[in-house]
Amino acid sequence: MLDIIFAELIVAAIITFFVREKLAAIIAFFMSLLPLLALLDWASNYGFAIINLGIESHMKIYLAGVTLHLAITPLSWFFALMILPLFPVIMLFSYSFFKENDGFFALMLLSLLATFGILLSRDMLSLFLFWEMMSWSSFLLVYRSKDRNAIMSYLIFSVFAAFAILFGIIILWHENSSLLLSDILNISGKPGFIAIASLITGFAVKAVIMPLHAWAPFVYSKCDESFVAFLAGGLSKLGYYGMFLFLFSLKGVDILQSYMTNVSWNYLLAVFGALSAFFATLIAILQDDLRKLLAYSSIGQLGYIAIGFGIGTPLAITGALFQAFNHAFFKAILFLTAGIVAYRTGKWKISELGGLAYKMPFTFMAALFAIFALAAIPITSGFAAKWLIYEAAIQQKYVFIAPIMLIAGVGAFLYSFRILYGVFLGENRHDNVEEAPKSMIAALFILVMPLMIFVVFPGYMLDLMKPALQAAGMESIAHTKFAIETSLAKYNSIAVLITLMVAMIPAFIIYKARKHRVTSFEDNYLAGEPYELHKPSMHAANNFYKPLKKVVLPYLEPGATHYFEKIYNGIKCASNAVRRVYTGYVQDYAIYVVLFLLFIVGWLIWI
Amino acid sequence: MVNHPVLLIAIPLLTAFIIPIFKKYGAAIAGGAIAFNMGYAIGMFSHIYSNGKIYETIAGFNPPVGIFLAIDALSALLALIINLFAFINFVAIGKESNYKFSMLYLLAIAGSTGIVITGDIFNMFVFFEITAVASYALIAGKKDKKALEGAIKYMVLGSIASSFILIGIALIYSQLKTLNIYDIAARIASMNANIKWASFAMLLTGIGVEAEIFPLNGWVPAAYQGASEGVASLLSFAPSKAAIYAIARLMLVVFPFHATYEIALWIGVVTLIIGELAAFMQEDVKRMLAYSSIGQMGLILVAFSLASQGLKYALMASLFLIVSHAASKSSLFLLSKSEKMYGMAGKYTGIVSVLSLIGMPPLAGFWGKWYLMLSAMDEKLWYVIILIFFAGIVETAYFARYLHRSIGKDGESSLRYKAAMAAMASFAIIFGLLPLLYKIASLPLWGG
Amino acid sequence: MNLATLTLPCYITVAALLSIGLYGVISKRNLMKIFISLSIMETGVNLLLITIGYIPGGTAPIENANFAKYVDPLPQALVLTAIVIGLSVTALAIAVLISYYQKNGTLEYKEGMKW
Repeated sequence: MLDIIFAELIVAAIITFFVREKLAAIIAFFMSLLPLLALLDWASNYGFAIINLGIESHMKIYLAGVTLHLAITPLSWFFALMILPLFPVIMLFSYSFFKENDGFFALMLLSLLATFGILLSRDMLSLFLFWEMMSWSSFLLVYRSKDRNAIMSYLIFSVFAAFAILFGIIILWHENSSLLLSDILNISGKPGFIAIASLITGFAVKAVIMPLHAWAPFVYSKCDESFVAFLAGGLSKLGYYGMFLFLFSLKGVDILQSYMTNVSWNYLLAVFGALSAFFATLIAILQDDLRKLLAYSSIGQLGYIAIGFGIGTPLAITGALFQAFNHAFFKAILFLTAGIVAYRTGKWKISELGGLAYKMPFTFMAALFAIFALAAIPITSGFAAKWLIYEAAIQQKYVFIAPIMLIAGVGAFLYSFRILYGVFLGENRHDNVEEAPKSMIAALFILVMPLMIFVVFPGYMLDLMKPALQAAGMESIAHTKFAIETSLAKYNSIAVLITLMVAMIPAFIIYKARKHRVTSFEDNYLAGEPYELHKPSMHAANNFYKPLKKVVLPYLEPGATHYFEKIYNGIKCASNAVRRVYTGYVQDYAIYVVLFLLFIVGWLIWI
Repeated sequence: MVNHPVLLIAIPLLTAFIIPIFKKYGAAIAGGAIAFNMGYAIGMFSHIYSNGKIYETIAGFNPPVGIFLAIDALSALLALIINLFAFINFVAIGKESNYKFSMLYLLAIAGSTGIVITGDIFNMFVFFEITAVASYALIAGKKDKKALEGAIKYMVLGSIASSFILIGIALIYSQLKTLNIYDIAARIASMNANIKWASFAMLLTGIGVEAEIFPLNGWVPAAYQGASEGVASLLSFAPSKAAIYAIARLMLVVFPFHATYEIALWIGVVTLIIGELAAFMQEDVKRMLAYSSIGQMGLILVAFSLASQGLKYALMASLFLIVSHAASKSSLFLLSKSEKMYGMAGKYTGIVSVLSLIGMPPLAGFWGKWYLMLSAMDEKLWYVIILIFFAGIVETAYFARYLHRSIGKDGESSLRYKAAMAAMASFAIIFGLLPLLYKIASLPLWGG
Repeated sequence: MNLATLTLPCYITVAALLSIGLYGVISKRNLMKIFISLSIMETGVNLLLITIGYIPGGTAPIENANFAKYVDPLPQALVLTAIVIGLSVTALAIAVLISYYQKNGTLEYKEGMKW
């Protein structure tokens, strides 16, 4: 069945390349449902009970003389459930998003193929092969943005990640003389340490962990939003998939520890995760570009997953996977919303937007829900996920990480508020804007649905990830449909929901009891100054966090991007130096030839 | 029929000498000869693919006395690549060319093919000279200042190189009284050690000039920049590939020693780093591609030097790298005709070529990178692996810049030209998907 | 003159010719002189080949009942080929130089394309 899906996806990619945009969108939509069918088929055949890593439904693909081993495992099943639904939704969204078909759908189908391949691969060659395929198909999607920074940084970081992963893979291959993932058993000491560390570095690039995030702000803010929804929602999860695979499923943690027992290497991952959560949130607060804000918010939210993996207890990993699942959906919604906003108004600057909620109520509702999940407001699934990670940090007595997470959590409120107020509420500045096309609204609400479900039934999420955790030798946390029980506390979604409802009623009554008057900004007191003079600065979203900006910006200036630029300039200098070898005088070249001859003779005869 | 590989050399040579008589139809006759050559090379390749190695004696003298052509999987593949790309390239540029160009083109093809299928070291030297002379003339054929300068640089270095190759051959002959490569290989141990090393150094230096290895490649940027795009494309797949093949043949068969392996390995790594770094800041597209070619040749030399240690993966890596480089660079050089991209075909040709060069699956370059890493790991060459990674990232950076610069520059070109570009690039895909090269690497080699 | 002692002077001449040729290529700015130097180098290499094939006391390799000892014929054949190749390269070089002169008005090698 899998090989048919692969073949159909390739054919569909070729067809969608040549047909008109609407037809391409329809073909792409139906084709992107295929992998989901495979997941359903797997679930109905095997149920959720199978927990061993190598399910023997291996499929083999023969390519250029090598064999690729593919199979669905509990881990890949869970991640597929998280990432693959994004594709049909994005196709649906893009139905009316693009003016002409310039290869978007074909490339998205190829990305889907690569993503599916990564999740299914059971040997390191196919993992790497599909990983690289995903790199180039997403690169070509980035290439459509025509932005120099985005194109260059994405390709360079992708290739860097690929080399890091390749480095790890060849070491593991050399130590085990096998490429099968199930054969990675007896490896320890220095080679094992280098291999696992290098693999994690490679995956961290796609997982956007600081300081390897430098490509993300450029790419997220310059490409088509419908693609970025996949990039932020789905592709970053593949980095975490790789980390989970090598750290927990294949016991990379033990390999790391066996090299230096006195250092907790996992803690390092948690620290980097906490740093990206903290700094990215801080930077996100200060952004005026909606897409840049969402980009940094994405980096920050992904940091929580890294923290969860870094803490490494079953509780933390449960939280991290939960957060990953939520993030895939709410970040996709937010980027798609940004796409709708740009589609209807052509603007991205928060200070130029406002009042869209009155014009596009459905978009606003979806975005509102996503923002609630992002800001981890109680009762949303985002809250449940972060709460699990907090608790794990507290249990482990990580006195550095837990407070940083808390600060970053507050920061998430600050920037979520900006999206909410600056874009959707406040003064209505757009008279000719309509609600988004129906296909876009449908796409948004499909994405909202799982978030809704896990609001009420957080236990279902834990059920879904249970086989993956058990396959990695971890116990699932005690839970029922509505409640999650840990050693410290018990989270019952129904109880929280009812409490919140009860608290909401008086608030609602008070809100209704008061009379409201909507005034325009001209009505405001301007002390006799003409309104036009102050128009730009009158918007509430203009320079919103000016005091905060003044305080923190000087410390944020020399960011990671700065250092990567320095490396780039260093290579430029080296290049300039090397180029001077080619002096342009043929006599110099003749001297080189003679010297080379003497050098070789000398080497061979005297050494 | 395919048992007479001498036709691969004889037909283009003879045609080249007939062409001046029929000046008007020069291009057509040359096109026919190249098409024949391509067909013959394909036939020979498929014959060897299924039946293994073959050889042919010339003029009835048996080896080691007589000259003979020894064809195995490696040389058949090289002959295939040279003739196949020669044909596609000629389709793109042949129609506009005059009879002189066609003649020289045929000579270059005959020479390059001769280098890869001969089993005689002096014969190899002669073919080197034929290729080189034809290439000088082809580069100078554009007749502007840059072209002449490139040709002169190539000529000076090429003449020094030919002297060195001849000295190397003379040194071997003085000891072993034979010119047959496989006969030399069998008796290399009986040579005086110093003379053996001196001859290796002479041969490496001489052939290295053609194979674009550092620091013998001063002519490369000037010649590629000066030559017209069709000739630059030809230079990137015919003479340079034949020369790197010659070095590989010497390393695999005649000098399979540890010292020579180490030298070739480190020269390859240095060439790679220098080439990629020099390309990094290059503004002129052709010159950038030329430096990039230097880097790639270094990488191929690394792969071959590892292959001389008997690593099967390394041989596979070098085959994939050769195919990837030939396909990508020749199409990129055709694309560099002007700053423009020539529509959809041009855009995707550029993208596929670049992706293959930086090693993305399922293109040929990916397998080259993969197998090279596996074999380097087998030898535990940590520094080499790191340096190759570094060079790869530098390469990615300037190719990303190249791709960005080409955005939005759309130009028109003839369908023939565009089809040829696309066809060249498509070989990176074809060889990446089919298990041809995988099988080729496992076939027995002459003297191996 | 004793033919047996000819080998050593020959080798010395070869070394001298090669050095002169290389020196000329490296030091002269005039392109014509550079190509003359290259020809000198080639002559040196040809002489080397001949010397290698020389057997003390041997005659020309023509079948003759009076002389049982003759020099190795193969290097002489090689030298013939090498001479032809050298000739063609020189002819082409001169053609290119004429073109160069027409374009630049000089045969001096000027600072050209670099970096």
